[in-house]
Amino acid sequence: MGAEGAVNIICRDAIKGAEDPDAERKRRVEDYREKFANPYKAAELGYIDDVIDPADTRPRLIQALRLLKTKRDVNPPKKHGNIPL
Amino acid sequence: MGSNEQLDRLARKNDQALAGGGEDRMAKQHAAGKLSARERIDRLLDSGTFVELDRFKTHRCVDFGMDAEKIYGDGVVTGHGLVAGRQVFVFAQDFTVFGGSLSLSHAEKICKVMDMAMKVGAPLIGLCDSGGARIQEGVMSLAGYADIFLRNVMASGVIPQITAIMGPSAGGAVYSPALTDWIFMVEKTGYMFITGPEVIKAVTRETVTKEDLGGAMAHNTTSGVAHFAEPDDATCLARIRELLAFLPQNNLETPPCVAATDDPLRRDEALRELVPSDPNKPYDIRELVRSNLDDGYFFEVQALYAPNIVVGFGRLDGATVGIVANQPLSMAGCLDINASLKGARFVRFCDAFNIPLIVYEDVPGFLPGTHQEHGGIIKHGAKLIYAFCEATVPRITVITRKAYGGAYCVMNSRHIRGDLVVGFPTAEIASWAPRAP
Repeated sequence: MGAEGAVNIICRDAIKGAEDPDAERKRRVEDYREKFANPYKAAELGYIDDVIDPADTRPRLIQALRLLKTKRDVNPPKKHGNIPL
Repeated sequence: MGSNEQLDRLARKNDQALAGGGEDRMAKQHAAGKLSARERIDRLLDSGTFVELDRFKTHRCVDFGMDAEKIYGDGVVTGHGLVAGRQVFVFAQDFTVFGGSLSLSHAEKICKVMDMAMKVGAPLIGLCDSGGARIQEGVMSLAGYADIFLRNVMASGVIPQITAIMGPSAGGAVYSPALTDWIFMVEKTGYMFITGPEVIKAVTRETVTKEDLGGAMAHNTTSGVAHFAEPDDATCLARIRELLAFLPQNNLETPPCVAATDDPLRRDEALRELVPSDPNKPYDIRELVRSNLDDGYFFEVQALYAPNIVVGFGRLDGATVGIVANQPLSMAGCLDINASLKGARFVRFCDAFNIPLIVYEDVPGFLPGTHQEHGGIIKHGAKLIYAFCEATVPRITVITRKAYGGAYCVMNSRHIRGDLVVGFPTAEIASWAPRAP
């Protein structure tokens, strides 16, 4: 399912009601791509912490691992979970 | 009686024990391309560090004339020693003695090293080469298997358990290996199945060779039962040593950290060109994985199974990390049943043994199709979610390109306790693919 599919559902009425439905659909598809075919929407929401230069991946990973060395996190006490086997 | 006489007696008994099943059978073992149990242990461990236990143990069966046939060791060599200076426990079945078949005594020897490995918190390595149950012992042999299974399960997640299938492993004998963390198989000599070709032929009339049914390739490519396929005994044992170097001794230790041999600040500008901006163009995610790891050294696990997800170990600034990466080269990096199983098990192993996880994400979604839906992709995909959600080790995600739909949530997103998530400028995070596939 691509942008076309998404737009056909989200903007069904707007496209149907437009003077030139094909042009409207095309505009909306471009719009959808502009919105989501990049990391910045997720970055705005804080869902990703940063957008990085691929060349810097190794230093960034090592920096993060150093930070997380003292990470403490525990799951709630239980006999055991029930992983869907 | 002087002490010399007593020492002579000990020497004679030692010679007897070391001879195993005798010269003829040993020659046969070598002719089949296999090392003997003791040769295998010598190659696995640091030279001269093996300490044997229960060398003189024998079976106690008196039926079918077995009381007249006793061989020291009873078909398995057990003990402990060092791998790269670190303690491990080992058992190696000796095919030259009663075909390596499992008697109650044989099982007791294995249980003893398992119990000791748990007591001191050291890895356990089993080298399997056994014709199966010692049928003369009947239910006592079954009891032996069950005693081992219980210990495998109790040890799971406490000490690393590694199995090498270096000969036959059939029937109930396959379940102890299956309960361990890692299975190595030697090509051509190692095979494992619940029921062999003869039984299959009698029941379903299917004709299949041992190799096609349960050889190294069958279990490394099709069933996913095994994690490594190695060309011969020596390579297999060397690879086990290589794996152990990444692992902690037990679940209370952090994995070993070696002296860093690579610059932690090293950048790689070639990576800017690796990910094509066209989302339908594939590239090899392993290039990115290798480039980031110390010395470009990536120890891939289950390389031949579900190649649409890549998992394995490496080091970052000297410390062990576990890698989970979608592979755009295979099925566009889609998650399917097999990839979910492979990924989930790896994540859980790393979490159990305090190994931080690095995730590289380029995933268009779950694989569509009736085969997947009816095969239970819902419950199998859920395993991967479950594994990531419950993991408490450090978890970092790098989104290189596609992060679409439910697969975005699954692949160690921040929402399920990923500690740090970064994206390349080429990343696309969307509920639906922004472009038609």
